[in-house]
Amino acid sequence: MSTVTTKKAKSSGKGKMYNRGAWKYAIPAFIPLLLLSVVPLSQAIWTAFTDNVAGFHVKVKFIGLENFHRLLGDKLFWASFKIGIIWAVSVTLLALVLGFGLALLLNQKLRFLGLMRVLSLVPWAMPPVIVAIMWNLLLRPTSGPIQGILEFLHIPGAKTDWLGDFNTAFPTVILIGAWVAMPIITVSILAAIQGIPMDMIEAATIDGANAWQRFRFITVPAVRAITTALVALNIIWNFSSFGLVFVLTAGGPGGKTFVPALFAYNEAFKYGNFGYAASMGVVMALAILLMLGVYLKASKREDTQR
Amino acid sequence: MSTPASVIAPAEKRKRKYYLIPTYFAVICYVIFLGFPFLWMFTTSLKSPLELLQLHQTLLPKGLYWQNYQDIIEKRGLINSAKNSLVIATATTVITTIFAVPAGYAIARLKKVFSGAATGWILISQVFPVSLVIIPLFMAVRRVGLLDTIWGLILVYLVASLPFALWMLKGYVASIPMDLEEAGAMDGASSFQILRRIVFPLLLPGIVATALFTFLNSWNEFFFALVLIQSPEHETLPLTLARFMGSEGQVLLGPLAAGAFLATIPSLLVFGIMQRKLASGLLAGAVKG
Amino acid sequence: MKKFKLFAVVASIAMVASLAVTIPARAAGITMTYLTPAYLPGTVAATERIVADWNAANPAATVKIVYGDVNNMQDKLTTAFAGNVAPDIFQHEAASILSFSKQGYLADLTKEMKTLKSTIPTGLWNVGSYKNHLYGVPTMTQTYTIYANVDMFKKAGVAVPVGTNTFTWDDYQALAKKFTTSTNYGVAWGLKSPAAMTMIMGMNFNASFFRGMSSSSGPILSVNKAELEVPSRIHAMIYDDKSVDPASLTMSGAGPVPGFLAGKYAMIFAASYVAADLDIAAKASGFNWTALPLLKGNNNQQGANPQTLSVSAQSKYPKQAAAFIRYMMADKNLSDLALGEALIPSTSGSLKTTLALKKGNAGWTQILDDGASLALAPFTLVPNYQKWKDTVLQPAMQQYIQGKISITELKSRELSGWLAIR
Repeated sequence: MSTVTTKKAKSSGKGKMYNRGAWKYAIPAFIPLLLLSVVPLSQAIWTAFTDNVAGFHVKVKFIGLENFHRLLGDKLFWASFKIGIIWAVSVTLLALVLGFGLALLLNQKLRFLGLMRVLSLVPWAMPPVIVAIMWNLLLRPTSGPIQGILEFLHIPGAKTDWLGDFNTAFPTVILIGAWVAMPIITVSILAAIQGIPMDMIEAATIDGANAWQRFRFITVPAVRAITTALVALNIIWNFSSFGLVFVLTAGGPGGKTFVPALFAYNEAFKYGNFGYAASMGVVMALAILLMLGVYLKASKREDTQR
Repeated sequence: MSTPASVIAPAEKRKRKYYLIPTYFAVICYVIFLGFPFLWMFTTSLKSPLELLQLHQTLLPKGLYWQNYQDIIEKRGLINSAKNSLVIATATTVITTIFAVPAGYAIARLKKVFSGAATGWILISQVFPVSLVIIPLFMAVRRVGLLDTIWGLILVYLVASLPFALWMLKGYVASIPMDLEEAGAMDGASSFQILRRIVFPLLLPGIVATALFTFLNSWNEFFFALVLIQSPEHETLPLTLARFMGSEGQVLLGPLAAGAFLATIPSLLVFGIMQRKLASGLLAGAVKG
Repeated sequence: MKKFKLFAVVASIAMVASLAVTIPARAAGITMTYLTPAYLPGTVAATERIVADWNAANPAATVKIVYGDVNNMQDKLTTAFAGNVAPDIFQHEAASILSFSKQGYLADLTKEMKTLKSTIPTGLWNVGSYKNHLYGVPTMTQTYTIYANVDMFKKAGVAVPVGTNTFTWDDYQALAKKFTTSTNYGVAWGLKSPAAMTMIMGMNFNASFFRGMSSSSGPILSVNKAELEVPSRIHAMIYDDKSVDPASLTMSGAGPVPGFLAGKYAMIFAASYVAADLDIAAKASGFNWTALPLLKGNNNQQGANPQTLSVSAQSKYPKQAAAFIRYMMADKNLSDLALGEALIPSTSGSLKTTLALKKGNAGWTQILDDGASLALAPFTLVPNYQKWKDTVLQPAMQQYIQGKISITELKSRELSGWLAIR
């Protein structure tokens, strides 16, 4: 720990030498941040320690950890919390696998590359409002095109209502979540792969490395850092959003897709319990930070080991 | 920029044929997976209300029902919302860039405490559900008198995009060799000149990448706009599109698909053109982050 | 670099242009805002026509329409109230304005609307009220109705049930069975989100769910035969009679319409708004549909959740706002609004106007007749009822309907869920 600190101090000291006035440049960015991010977020966190409810001229009282105490015993929230973790992690991993695969393809000299490039961005460019509606239509039971195709190909289980069946609803929602999350991952990983110097690959080939070895020892290390960042961000984004799930299944069937962000949203806007809802937000934020802390540390350790 | 490094090496050219079959199979799978929903949306936008009520939907519409486009453009003011969205997304992008470039530079070059704090803040600010921050945020926007204005929304989007932009740009600055600045300082350049003449040109790909992220996020954002915008004349595209949905899953599908298709085209165009820069910029931002 | 400069130039031009646009024009009189979730073309056109007429007649107090989207009305209003920028007048649903009334965000309209009271059924009036004060003026309501394919009935030689208060659940179940063949199901029923529907239909069997509303320890949930009657009948139709298409169980309310139009089912169970879609098909391809009389158990009452018009307590012009609401409630105006969404207008006058317009359309006539059976569902007044419905009843009912749990399990989940939520 201490060695790291001294190293850092050295490098920053060096920077200061040549551009001592740089700190001024940060001010314009930090004023709006302070005003519209730090202040509202602190207020929202503070709300978690109050009995704030919706209402005209409501008096708000500090109640310490009471909301958290109550939340601890809220079985429904924890069930939802578990779903949220599974949702965020699986969407991220699936999107990572699919996005990585697509990036590898886009890096080859193939036909239709231009088309593929544009298509790879479609889920990102389509307005989120309509993404879920389109998937709902495509997956419509008995008459949707996807069922039609599966039936035509005589695939068993073709008649399944993918979004309504208890066994398939959650996996289907996760697949659609991955569809939405793919473009950012594809684009970033493709960039990382394209940054690999040509001579490195040639040298490896001359040394007799086969395709798998080149992938394992050149491509994978090159995308490791960016993958870490993408995984962290995607887990955060997916854990704290619910728009897609809401339009797809509204939390059903049988609560199988009731993600915690939707739970907290309902608590605040539908039932007007701002304080209690905020305590859910705080718990969600802490849990994710803890999880990511462990993850980021682990991936850093792995980095330094190689 | 860097030439794409093919995974297939020259020595294996003979083997290529074996790769090609599974590779193109994968390509076809991806094309269908990514393109089919988009294609379906487009053909849906050309179907009449009666056709949309039919049990078995075909990919190709039975007739071309342009009325959907006419409806959304003339009756629901799509052009005006598109203009608002364009103004807001563009302004947010420009201002975010102007703010984030020097700040990213400062964070990268000054004390590491700053960069640690910035990264921490990104995590915290993104992980707290938006719906729970919205009321305090709403109050803050009201306090500065920017409620129901395009500028208010720009300000909020600026704040929403800054953490991510700072993170990316900080990483990119860190990848610029310090020697270059050192040389600049030796030649007697001022702090601002170093930033403008030496750092800025090298940062450009990273700036483009950041700008694209900011643009698309502002273009598609719904919840902040819903709450902060009150007047129809300030409405953004996602708000206009949401008004084609009723309760219990009812939708005016034809005009909604038409509007969504029109809303997708500009982003696809911008991305199609900029993708190479996006790719290279992203790399620099995140790898060093 | 060049590209970026161009980008910046374009952006600054766009920004300047936007500034020019945002300078508001000063009007001479006052301007009130009216937030409406109207989205169907007919209702949008009617709203614009009504507001234009009002503005022409009242230049001193004009109204400006703000369109909201129905799925986010709650968020929009909650934040607007909290920030003191609420619209003067807004349309929302009764179930949701109840909490706003309790929270003190709404203006008391009892006095302003007293001329309307005699024209609106008491049941509906009460739904818009809280503690005997009116906060939401009921405008139009949906009912749950069974739609019939008349041609299929004729072909099978089955008489279409008519008359008020005669069509029982038993009749419905028998009909569904009769139309079930080896290839077709008698009825399709979009049961994706069954909680609200089963509670509202439960009123047919006097299901009250909660008792001891005024007791100091809070309301107690009781789930007995009355409360379980509707779910168990649905269950019997699905699993014993096998007369409900299992594929429709996971569809949303309007989901079975395409299958109905294609002649797959003789009947569908859906909300009244579906009639708008059926009309499109009737006009274009001569599809012959009608609505059956409201289902009857012990009675044919259904819990009502009407659309309501409210004035926010923060409004600076409550008098003018109330006057505008009265104007919207005029027979012709309300009738136009309701027609656009295929809902039942609340006042007797507008009902008459609508009936006259839809003369000869048997389905519409039946639906419009049903308004009298709408009543205040007592459970809507229970605090935390909505939360219980969303987080406990909804998932449990979905599992029961899909055959995952027994009726005893359903009951015990409902009960333990209520205890956990309070």
